[in-house]
Amino acid sequence: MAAVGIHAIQKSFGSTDVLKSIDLAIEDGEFMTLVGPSGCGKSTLLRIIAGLEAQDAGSISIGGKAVDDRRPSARNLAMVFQSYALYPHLTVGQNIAVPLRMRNLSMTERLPLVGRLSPKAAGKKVEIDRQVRRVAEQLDIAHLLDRKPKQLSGGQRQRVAVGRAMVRDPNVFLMDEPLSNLDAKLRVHMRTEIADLHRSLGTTFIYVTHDQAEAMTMSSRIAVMMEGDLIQVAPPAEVYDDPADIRVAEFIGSPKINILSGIVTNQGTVGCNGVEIGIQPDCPAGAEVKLGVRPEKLEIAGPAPGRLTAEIRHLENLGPDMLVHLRMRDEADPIVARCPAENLRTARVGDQVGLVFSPGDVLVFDGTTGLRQPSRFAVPAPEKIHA
Amino acid sequence: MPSSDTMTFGSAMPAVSVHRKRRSLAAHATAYALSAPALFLMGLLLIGPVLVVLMMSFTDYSLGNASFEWVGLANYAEMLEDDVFVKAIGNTLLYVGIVVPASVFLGLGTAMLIESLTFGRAFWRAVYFLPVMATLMAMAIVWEFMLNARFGMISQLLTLLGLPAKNWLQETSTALPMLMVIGIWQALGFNMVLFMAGLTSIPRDLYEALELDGGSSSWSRFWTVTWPLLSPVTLFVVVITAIRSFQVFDPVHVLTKGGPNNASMVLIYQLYQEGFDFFRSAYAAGLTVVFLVFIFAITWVKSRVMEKNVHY
Repeated sequence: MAAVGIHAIQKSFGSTDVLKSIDLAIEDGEFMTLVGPSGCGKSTLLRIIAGLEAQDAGSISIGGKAVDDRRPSARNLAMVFQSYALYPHLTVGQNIAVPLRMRNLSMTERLPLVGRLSPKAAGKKVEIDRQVRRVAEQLDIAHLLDRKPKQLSGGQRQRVAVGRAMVRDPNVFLMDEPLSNLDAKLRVHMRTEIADLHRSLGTTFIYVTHDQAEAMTMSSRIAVMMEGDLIQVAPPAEVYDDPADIRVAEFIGSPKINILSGIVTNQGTVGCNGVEIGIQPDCPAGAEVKLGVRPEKLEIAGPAPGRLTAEIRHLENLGPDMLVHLRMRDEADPIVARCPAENLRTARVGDQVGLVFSPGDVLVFDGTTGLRQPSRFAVPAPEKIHA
Repeated sequence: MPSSDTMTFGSAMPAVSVHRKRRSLAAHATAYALSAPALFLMGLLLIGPVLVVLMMSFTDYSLGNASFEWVGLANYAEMLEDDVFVKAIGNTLLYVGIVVPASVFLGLGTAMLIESLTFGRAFWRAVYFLPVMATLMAMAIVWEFMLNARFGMISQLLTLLGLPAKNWLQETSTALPMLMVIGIWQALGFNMVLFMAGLTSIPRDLYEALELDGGSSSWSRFWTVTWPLLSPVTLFVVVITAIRSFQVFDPVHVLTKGGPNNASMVLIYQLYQEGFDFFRSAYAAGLTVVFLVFIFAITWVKSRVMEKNVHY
């Protein structure tokens, strides 16, 4: 177990800056998820932590000690690869045993024939077998120990890769998109298992994914990366409710947050599609802003003056909820509202409806920089109008 | 009612099965008819010649004779008495036994060295592949020139170092080893290219996983990842090199003619001499059968090993 410090890490491949000075402190025992779209540099950062890639500048520390000049094998980390990287010629048991054999047996003790002559090696090998069995039982793969990776399903291979990582006591677990090769159902199941594993081991986990749902469901904290920058580091709920940047707001959450364009009025409130929204951002009059409203915060009501109106384009029934796809005049992007299905019995595609939301649920972003703008409610705070 | 049902069912059965049999016969006939041309050509061009050679080896036929007699196993019995044949078999096995491991391991070593380079890979690849592209007949003349006792560059180099120059290809003790050197020189480039293809197909993340698992020495990288993952390529390379080594002919023909005193006589060269210099076609056919037995043996071993060990 150890804390991991990332200090001013820079990396470029040719003329592209993949990481632009990343600083991140990961606490001991934390489940930290690096999340971002593909090409944001998250995997490169993980590989730099592992030592598989050298940084151009900056420093990595594990357990308070700088490890920049240490080889990956000397950093005492375990990694689960996206491809699982199982040795195809070894059985499941032998695969899980590799880290112990490499670390606990000398080169001669590992030789197939010579190794048998040493009585000390025999004792060590019994201990290795015991450890392998313990891990296999913990992961429910004990019955597969004699199989080759080729004979396993994707989920079983994933467990073997996890087993190989946890068989010794690493300082930190690194996971590089470990669930991306699994089918959707298994992926949801493995999310729970990996979270459980983290709880039971208590070791620091650094987990890379492009799937915001994985990040939200498993992490203690999420680090959102975009284009080589670290944009926000916070617990999942905070990243969702209080995003620091419009890109974070758009990346986290499904369906995506609704973005409306507005202009700050002379009264300090925001005008949007000819309607005044009762919120006062810290922006000068005439400034362009973007308003973000989560789909579940939008309600559908009858059209009325002073209310944003839109046309229903499509209704998606999810059972308890309904996703309402709407098109607003003068807005390029469609709007999505998530409402309880019983409120929408009479709604039909083509209906003109009004949109209702509380100003408290509106996130205001700068129109040009995309940064979050602090805002107050206009006085008096307008009542929420129900349909 | 149930009895009548059973009746109908029971009486219908044979009719159906006869019908099926007829249909399957018809289907089989069509299948045989459609594959007949291919089977005929395969028999004529691939299996037929082998059978003809096998039959010929039981006769006393000589090229140009109007008739022949069946002599049973006489040709094979003669082989056992034939000093040249015994020498040729011994030399061929020795040649294969040296050239195969040497060219396989040197090929692997060269491939790994070239793959580890950061630049100049294409150049070195071309250099080592040159002997493969040049015909061995032409390159044999180059070797003859290089090994010439008076003006060959190897002899000159040795003289320069104060060592005695030899007529390498004309001496009993060095003729066969020289042919082996040429054989290794030629096979190395081909094996290297095959190993290079094998090396590039090993997933990089296996080396990375091993590095994190604690195997950071090049020794453990080789034994844990490279060698086991190359085993299908290695098996293929060994088999191909073995078969090609059994077939060694061109350098023998150009450089030594099997001499001096049969010191460099090999199976295929003896076969050539018996068949085309002495016109003893039946005896040559017997030698061909012996050669084919070796090739079949290699192929059989290969498929057995393949089934057991080297598939993932």
